[in-house]
Amino acid sequence: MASAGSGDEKAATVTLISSDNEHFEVPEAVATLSQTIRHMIEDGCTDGGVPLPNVTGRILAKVLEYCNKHAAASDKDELEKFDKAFVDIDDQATLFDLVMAANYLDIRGMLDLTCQTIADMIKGKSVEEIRETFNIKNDFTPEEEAEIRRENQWAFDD
Amino acid sequence: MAEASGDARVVSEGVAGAACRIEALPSHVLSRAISFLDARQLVQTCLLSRRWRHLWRSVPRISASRHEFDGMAETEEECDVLFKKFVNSLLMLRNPAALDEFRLQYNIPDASDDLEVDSEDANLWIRHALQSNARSVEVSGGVSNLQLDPGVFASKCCFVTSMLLSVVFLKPPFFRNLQTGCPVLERLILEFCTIYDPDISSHTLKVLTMDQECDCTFEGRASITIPSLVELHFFPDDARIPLLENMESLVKASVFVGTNPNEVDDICQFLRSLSGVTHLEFYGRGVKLEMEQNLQWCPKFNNLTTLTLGNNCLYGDFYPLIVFLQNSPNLEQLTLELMQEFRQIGLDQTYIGDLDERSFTCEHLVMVDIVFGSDSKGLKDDPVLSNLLKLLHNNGITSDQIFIK
Repeated sequence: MASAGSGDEKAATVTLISSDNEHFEVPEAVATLSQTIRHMIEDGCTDGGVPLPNVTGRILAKVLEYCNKHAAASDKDELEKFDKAFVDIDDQATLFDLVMAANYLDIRGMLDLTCQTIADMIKGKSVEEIRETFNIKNDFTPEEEAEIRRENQWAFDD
Repeated sequence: MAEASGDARVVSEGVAGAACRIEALPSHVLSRAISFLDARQLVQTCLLSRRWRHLWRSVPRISASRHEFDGMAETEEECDVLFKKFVNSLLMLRNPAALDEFRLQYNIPDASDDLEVDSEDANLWIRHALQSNARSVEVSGGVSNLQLDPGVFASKCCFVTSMLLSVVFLKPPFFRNLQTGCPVLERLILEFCTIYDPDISSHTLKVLTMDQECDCTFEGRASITIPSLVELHFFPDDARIPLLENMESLVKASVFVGTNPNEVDDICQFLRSLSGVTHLEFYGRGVKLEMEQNLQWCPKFNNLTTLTLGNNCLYGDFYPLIVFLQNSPNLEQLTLELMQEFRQIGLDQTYIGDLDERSFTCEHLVMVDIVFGSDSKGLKDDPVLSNLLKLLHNNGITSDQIFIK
């Protein structure tokens, strides 16, 4: 848990170990933005570090960027600006890695932020455009598709 | 194009071999993502692939917006019809299991003949949402006031904790019905509402906001009796100063009240009701807070740590400001918001008689913000500002504690 104890001044830290064996020493106050890690600290099983086999070092670094900012700052406008920049990501793969990490680590704010970003990528697009954006394979038969359009006709244009 | 057999159609996948990350998301996460969509688009996701066909049904959030139907038909009336058909179908066909959040952006037409009739569908949907155990309800009437039927709270809406009403007409017994029908309501935000019910009481509310665009159309004063209230934001223009009673839990208050000289007693009683708060923002409609010198109009604010005052307290060579400071011994932060009318104060710096003691002792005061509104930047050179700074310096506030924005 804590590093070599010197004075009372030193805040408790926890070591997080990514899937590719990168070690991150993080203040507890920051790490506990993750409910998953918070529970582990409470249960006292963080000695020697917390292995996170589902999160790569690259993604964990980004997650900690989020946690550091949100644990420290209290100005709403500042946080909004940060969040906006945080999800301004060109590549989808990173976005989805962050969603999965937020889910796995149970970081509510980050999960909402990344999910909202996915929703924003869907907004205003037609069904075909959405499929294209996300590489969604259309596995309906034409008959199935027609049936769905009929049953939910009240939600479609015709 | 269409295969004769029943085989699933294979469509080219954009980037060859690219993974479909979105399909790899666990259902509850995907569900959360699409819960941020407006209702019509949400339902349309049923066509994306087999996995998505019924996902929309279980999303615990509805955000139904009339705007999704703009331009969908020749006339506004026809769009309204499509919208109503959509919402009715949505509410009937979705999974009736718990609805967490209900958001309705309705549209009462500008040229409505009968506001009550035009509000019927909305009232029905709101009642449905409340009975479906929604915890958060947000309703907007659009351009004209939605006539909210106080009867929507008739059956116990045991789960709703937060309500936001915008462009809604609230008639009696709205607040009484709200109190009996919503036993766990904690937040009530009223924006652009027309409030015809003056009896504002509750045993559970913690936060109450009535914004500047709210119109209080009842005779006389509002009576606010909310023993549980922690935060009050009262800003309606043209409202008389409300009568506050039993506000023992109040910690933060931001208020914008008339500072009409005829309402001196009302102001005294009002400020006394606020005397336990730790955070106070006090703005006035009139240019000046006119008070007789020998009248004890300001109570002791023993708990006050953060104070924000508007122009109206800078009248008479800062007399009301000084009185506030004299009665706030534990103040830590002071903010003065100077708007355009500051000039008028500058013109009238003769104070009402002599204030014996122009000194105040705020031992804990460490920060003073002087904020100029965007239309008053030119006032930084105004002599009133330097007089104000002199006053602060004379009372032990150093320059590094004063921030001018």
